[in-house]
Amino acid sequence: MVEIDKEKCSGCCGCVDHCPVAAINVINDEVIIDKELCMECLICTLVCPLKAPHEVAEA
Amino acid sequence: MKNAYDVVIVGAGPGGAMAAKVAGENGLKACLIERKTEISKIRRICTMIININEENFGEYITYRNKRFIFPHNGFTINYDGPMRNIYGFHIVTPDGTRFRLGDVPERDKDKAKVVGLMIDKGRLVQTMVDEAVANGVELFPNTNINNARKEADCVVVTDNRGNEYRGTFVIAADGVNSRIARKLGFNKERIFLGTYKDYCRIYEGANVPEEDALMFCMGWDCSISLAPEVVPGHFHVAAASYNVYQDLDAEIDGFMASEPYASWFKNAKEIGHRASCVSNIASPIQVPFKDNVLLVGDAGWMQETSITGAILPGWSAANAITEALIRGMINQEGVANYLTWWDKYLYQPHGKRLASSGGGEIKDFLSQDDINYLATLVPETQPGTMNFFLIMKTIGRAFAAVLPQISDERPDIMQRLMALRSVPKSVALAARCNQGCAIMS
Repeated sequence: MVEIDKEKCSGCCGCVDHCPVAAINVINDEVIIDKELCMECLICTLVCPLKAPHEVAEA
Repeated sequence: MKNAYDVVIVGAGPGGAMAAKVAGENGLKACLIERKTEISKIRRICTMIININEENFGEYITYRNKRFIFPHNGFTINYDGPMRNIYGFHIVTPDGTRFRLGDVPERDKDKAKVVGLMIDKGRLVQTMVDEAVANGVELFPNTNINNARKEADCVVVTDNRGNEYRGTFVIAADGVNSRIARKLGFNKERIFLGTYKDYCRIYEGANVPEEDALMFCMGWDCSISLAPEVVPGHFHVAAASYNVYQDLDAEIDGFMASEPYASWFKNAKEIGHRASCVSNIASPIQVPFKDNVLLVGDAGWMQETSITGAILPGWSAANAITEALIRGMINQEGVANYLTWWDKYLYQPHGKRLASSGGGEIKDFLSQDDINYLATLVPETQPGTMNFFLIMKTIGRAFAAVLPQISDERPDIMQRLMALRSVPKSVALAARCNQGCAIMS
């Protein structure tokens, strides 16, 4: 599962742009991953200069 | 079926906001869709500079009476915010030597000499959006456009909540990573040129000499730049790389620990990392039109057209759409004025050249000592400019003139320069592909 560290995120939307399934959106100026849509391709973790998106174990 | 809007504009940056302002003034039924809620807050890295008093995309912008004036195209943009007169573009070598295009003493000899004004870009965009809304343009902030498709009599864009916005025309001003361009198949013919990661820290209290200049620091493992912010006393330090695996945070740490930079920032406090930016870069589009969708600014270009290069196509596209609607020509011919503008001022002079660039990475060929040596060869300050294309041309010419000297004095460096230049395009692009993430489909 991929989550975004809000403390690190600058809101540049690079991950939003790159997500192949549009699972990442900006809602109320906060970048949010839709876990239902996410395919866990991890491109967001690669493109973020601040390493805000990161993989976490399933709860 | 009746379309909901004459034009749906996606993206409220300088290009989309300008298009919306024109659509409002021209009385079109238009909407402007933006994913941010707070439009005036700029979250990506940008130099925030508008070129002044020199040719740029055929225009000669000036600033008078609290307005940016575009006399060639015949329009103005209100702006009554903070400004900073940026005069220099300096390449700084590892030992601190500067190769200068413009310097402050030259600027201050003549008060009228302005080539670039740094502005509060968020305020400029907000002013244009406010005017558009006052003229009846509907604004949908907090709305992410994730899909676009062509129907028989309109273009439909869809947001993250499933709402549809139908336009006779659509202006895609959704930036360098334009999803609309991807969804409508604009990118199929484009060449992937790399992924550029950019991260910057903002500081206050730094003591930077010749501070009204953009500084590009050579000789590091990634591109490092220093620039003032529009707020007095604020500076940012940015690291950028085509290698997505590179740790930019660590690169900035290493740079800041070295002299003279460590001294410059000794008493500075980090106050944020406003912008970070990831860009998928592809070759410029020759015809930014398909299925009644017009791409403006970076959406049809590559990193980056600059603020001027977004405002001008936004203006031109919205006017072309107005004319097409009046003439009842809902097709490519109807918006021919825009496509002619794009071809004349963007694609012909710049696009073709950029699309065919080869060459290697400087850091793979030249050492810090090599770069220190090269900077000593051109001690004279070159004419100041903030026109990116002219900057590149000026640097090229200055160093072309000293090639015989390099050949005589340092044949070893000459050999490395030639090797750098002769990396074939295919090899350079393959390296960029391996280090980046293409999102072409």
